[in-house]
Amino acid sequence: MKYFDIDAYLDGALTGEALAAFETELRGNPDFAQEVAAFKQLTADIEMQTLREHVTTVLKETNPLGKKPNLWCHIVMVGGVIAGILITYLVYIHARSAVVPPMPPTDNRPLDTLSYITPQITDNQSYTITEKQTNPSLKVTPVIKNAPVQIDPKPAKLPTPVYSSPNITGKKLNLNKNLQMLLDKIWHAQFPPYCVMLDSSRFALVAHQLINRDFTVALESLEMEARNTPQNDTLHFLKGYCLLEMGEGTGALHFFEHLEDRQPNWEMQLEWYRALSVLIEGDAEKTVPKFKKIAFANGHRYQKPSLEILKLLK
Amino acid sequence: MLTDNRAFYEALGRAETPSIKLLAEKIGYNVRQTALQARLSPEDAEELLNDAVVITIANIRNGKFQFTEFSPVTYAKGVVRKLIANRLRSVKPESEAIGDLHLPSDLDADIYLQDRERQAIVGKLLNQMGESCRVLIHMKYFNQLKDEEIIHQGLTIYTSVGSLKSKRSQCLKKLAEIARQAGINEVF
Repeated sequence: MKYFDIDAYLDGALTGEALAAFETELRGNPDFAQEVAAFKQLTADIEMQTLREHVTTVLKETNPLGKKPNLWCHIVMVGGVIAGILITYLVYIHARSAVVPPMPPTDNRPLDTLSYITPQITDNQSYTITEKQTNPSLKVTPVIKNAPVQIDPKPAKLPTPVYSSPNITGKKLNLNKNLQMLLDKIWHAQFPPYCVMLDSSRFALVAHQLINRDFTVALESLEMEARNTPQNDTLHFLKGYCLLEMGEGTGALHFFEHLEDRQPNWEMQLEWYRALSVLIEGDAEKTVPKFKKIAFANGHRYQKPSLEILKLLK
Repeated sequence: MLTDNRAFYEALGRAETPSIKLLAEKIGYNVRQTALQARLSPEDAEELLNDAVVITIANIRNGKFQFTEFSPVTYAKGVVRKLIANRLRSVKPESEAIGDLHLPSDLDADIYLQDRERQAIVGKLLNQMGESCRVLIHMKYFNQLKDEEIIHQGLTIYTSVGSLKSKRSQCLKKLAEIARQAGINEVF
């Protein structure tokens, strides 16, 4: 029996002799004609049904008739709105409470006349922060408003760093395993720093972001803040701190320079951060003098870790 | 983009999702108002909208709706009116029913609705078939891909048009057989 391509015929793809032969068969063979008709009907039905299913699926997503949502939709929507408000409120409360003692709003006022909270440095580290503390070594210490500044630059012992040093692979410093391990051990850069107090109204959000170690976002927040007061020492310090934790030594160094001219109480912290900034950039020539300066300063808060670093840098 | 009537028409012919959404949005108000006037239920209105979109696209595909300067929206609104008229069984003079709309005069709503039930069953039977058959059938009859395109783009495991056609033919025969067994249509 001769083969006829029904598919091609219905597609209009048959021409010439093939088409003529097909049509002759169609006229002379009722069974074949019925088969062709059935095929045509079936494929037409498939076309329409697959199209209808597609349209139904698309229109279910769009609700073009503005059909009212059912009761469950209402419940889910109202629940969602309430949950959203609640979450926003909790985040707001959390951010407010996450703030550390306030910092002087301007940098040019003398320290002893400022109305801010004094950090009480204890043997087992500084003050701070929130009830949802990510760093277990940090403790909340009651704060006293309008108290005089009492910064003890010589704490007996530094706490063990909780977080590892930033990922600085790819820097030019030839870090051996020991040095990398040591860097993690001496990475005394946890937030908040012992000497700097933050203005709770200004840096609430940033403090929250830094506690959560979200440095990129914190840096963005600081950039926004800098639009209002670009020349704020706290702002510079925090920017430097963010960059340091992000492994951007050169950038961090830029912000840590000369701050102690106006903020003498920050000097030890700044020296330490500058040394770390240079270290992670891998500039050995500049690194050693910076750690030496700290290591040879009796009573320097970071004397011991500097000595350890120097041993390994030899 | 779809602001151009021809581009909109062609996108609908390909059953592209954005064009379907746009058409539904454009005729949505019309359907809602017409359904309200005809006191149809929201479910009926929804069905009406779906049918109007399906018919418009199908008629673009089968050449019954040729592109003119009219927007497909105008055509689809005409379809809505015909479908409504059919539902209400109130035969109105065509001119009164359509106003100044470009009406799809070829649409037989009765036949469409009658066919729809049979097509729904075919759809269910198709879904019962194996994945490979469904994909092959879908590519040709929904996506309207040519066999050469399917092979050239490597959309299936088949590497020649002959083997692809042969497999699809087997699938269709199987589907026709299932349909016959289901007794949905003697013609199968």
